Amino acid sequence: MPEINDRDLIAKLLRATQAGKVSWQNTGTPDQFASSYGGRWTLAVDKSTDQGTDYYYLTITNSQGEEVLRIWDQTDNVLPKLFEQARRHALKVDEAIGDLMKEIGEAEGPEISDEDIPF
Amino acid sequence: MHKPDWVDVLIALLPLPLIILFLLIPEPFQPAARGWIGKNWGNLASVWGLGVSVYVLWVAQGAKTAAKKATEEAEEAAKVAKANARTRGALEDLQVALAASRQVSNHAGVKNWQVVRLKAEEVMESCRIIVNRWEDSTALNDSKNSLNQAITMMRTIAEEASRDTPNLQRIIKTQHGAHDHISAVEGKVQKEQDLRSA
Repeated sequence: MPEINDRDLIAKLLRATQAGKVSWQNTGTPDQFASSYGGRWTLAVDKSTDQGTDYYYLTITNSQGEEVLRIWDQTDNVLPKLFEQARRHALKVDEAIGDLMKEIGEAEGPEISDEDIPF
Repeated sequence: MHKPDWVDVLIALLPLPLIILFLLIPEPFQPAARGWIGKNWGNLASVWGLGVSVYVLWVAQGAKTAAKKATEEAEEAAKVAKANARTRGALEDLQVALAASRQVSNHAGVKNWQVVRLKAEEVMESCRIIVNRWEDSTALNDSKNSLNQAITMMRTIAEEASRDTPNLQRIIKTQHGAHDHISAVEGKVQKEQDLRSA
């Protein structure tokens, strides 16, 4: 298997999440979203806040609950973006916005062109 | 190919009608026939022996094929029995997990946090047993993912229940999510078992 660094891993995960290939879900821990894959691994992306500063980290645990990898947010990775995408996916934010757009569209009625205006 | 039972007898008694046929040859030709038999009895016996050998080979081939088929059928039956046992075992463990999951919700409702933690751990344990049992089966990856997700959710419930002031709403919501995962897997396994028994 080719070696992959933390930055690339997170970037790939972000793209997979944006493409809807990773199914993130809420957990009982605040600001934590998890997704299981491969029949034996669980990914979790977390945000913790300490003295007004947000910290992000990604963990991979095996089916026994043992943590096998932890990646902290660094200046060159996109972990906060991944967290935000995971949150949007888990909370179905896009669906909520989509439904809202549908409602607003129906309420607004057909678009008005210049010819419809009599002056 | 199925062989009629009388074929064995026919092959064994084949020389007898030939001998009788020779004995029935009319008088003027009988000495010549006897002389010919006397000279060629070895060849005749060889031809008969060859026929018997070919027949025995054919019977043996049939027996080998039948034995192979019986072995394959026995292996298939063993596989089905193993799969049935695995499905039954998984179904029992899933039902235990679902019962414990319901109790997580019930005990959370009355803020009995210690029992919530214990029941969440019970769900995790049951799910882990199933995931480990299915370890080699890549075809069940989706179900394993669902159970692993339920394990993660239950672990966070146990952690939340251990806090000084657990968040009831978060625990209930997470329990519902985990329960849905386990129920979905139970449905699949139940369907598989129904198909097997049909």
